[in-house]
Amino acid sequence: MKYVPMHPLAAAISLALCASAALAEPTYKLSGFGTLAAVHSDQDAADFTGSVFHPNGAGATRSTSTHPDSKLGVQLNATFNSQWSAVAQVISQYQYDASYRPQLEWGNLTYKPSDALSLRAGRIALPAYLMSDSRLVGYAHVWARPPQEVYGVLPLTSNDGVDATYRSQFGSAQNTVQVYYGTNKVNIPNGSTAEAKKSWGINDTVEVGSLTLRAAYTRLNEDLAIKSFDGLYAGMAFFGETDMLEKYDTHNMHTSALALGAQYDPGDWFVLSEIVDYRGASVLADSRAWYVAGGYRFGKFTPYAIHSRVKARIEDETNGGLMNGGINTVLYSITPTQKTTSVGMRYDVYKNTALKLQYDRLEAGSKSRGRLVAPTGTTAPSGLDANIVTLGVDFVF
Amino acid sequence: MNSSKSFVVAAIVLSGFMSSARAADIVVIGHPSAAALTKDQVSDVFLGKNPSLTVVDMSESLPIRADFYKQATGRDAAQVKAAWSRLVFSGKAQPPKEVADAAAMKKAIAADPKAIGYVEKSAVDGTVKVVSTLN
Repeated sequence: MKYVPMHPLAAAISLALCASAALAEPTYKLSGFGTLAAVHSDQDAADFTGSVFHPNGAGATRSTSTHPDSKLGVQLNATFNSQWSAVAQVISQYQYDASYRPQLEWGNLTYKPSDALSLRAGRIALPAYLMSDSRLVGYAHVWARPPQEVYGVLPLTSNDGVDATYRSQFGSAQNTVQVYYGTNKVNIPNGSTAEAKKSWGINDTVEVGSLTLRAAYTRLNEDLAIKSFDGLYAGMAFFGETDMLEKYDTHNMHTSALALGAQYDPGDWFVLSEIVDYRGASVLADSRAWYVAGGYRFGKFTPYAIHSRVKARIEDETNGGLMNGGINTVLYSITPTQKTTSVGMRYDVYKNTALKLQYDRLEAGSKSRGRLVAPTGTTAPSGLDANIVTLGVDFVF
Repeated sequence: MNSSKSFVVAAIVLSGFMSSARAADIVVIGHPSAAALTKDQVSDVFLGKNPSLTVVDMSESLPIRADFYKQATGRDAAQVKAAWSRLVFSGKAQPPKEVADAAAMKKAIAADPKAIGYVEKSAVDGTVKVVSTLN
């Protein structure tokens, strides 16, 4: 049972909401989005999953699964006046304990002292990527899912804290700069947790006509508690490898990511690309990831293609004596090396509904399992590949 | 052979003429105090990229809506919906308020100095100002 503690900020927001609600006659707007998709993988030694928070997916556990991409989100916007508004978004998607129990994805209060400045407090999207804000909204994008090589580097989607956004205009260019600060704690399958004790970042987006350019820096101070690594640390302690215990301590790891993104979308066609440079710590190795995607719109049909890669930069441990093997296994299991080439078709079948068919050819690095997951209690070799077919429907309401 | 070719050419010319005739007279309107907008600015506003103006949209069931977005943004209805859903589900923008006809549109525009909308040119009167002719 995942318990989402009520953050002090959330409490403050609830109070503020009640106060504002008492003052103004708010207008409410209910909307939602969802994806129902079946994913088939021909790899029967490991699962293709939707994210690191999914305990299983398509492949080994079952060849066809609806877990990786299916989700339902409901959003309530409340506008109190031209300066104050609030939003709550609840999402039901597959999670660490194999349930679809709804979670509060975002819940925040916005104060706009001017058209240019916007301040928010509460649970806010973690804006690491070009599409971070809408990464779960399938209808908003052409693809079946954001490229996992890149979007999997920082899988967290929300943050409890504050942010400030400032918009300005330079001729025909719109500039948006955002800074944020917060904390986050998430459950990972098999009794593990990841906690960002401090997470902050700054990003800048420039939009000129059909062109969007974005640079984002994200900084995290993380604690990681992975159950299956307990034996490794016990071994380090037993063999007196105190240097190793210190080097691979998973408390207060300082990690960062720099992501650059560009999109050009004049209407009939589009290209977009992102690159992320991740600096890890302890068991989290450095990595670099990128993708390039493009498509052409023929009326209601949009064929597209994506190529994405992530490469871990792992320095094999050689100073851990008998523990070297175990340490290296952990390093390679956490930070994947993988590439995927995808082709697909989006069909806008109805005014708020899109059908998508996507084929992915996924290849893990020779010493990596990539993002493929061996079912609990089994192991899978490195260097696996998978042919994955996804058929789904995305909608908004 | 020849006659079928010229029939195809004629059909293309005719369909091009018909679609331009059908969609030719939409104008962007604002409050009487509003400033004129360039076509690029209009596109930005109706794709949700300019939060200082408030979009008033025609109901989805009206054909003027699809024609307008094609002319103003170069995008069809589904693409515009996808663009707005990106904004709405990030909590960054509210979906535009919708009205059912030109009279309701003019009423909404006249009531709000920040509002911006569109109507057929023939529906324009003194309560609103044409801020772009989409040319």
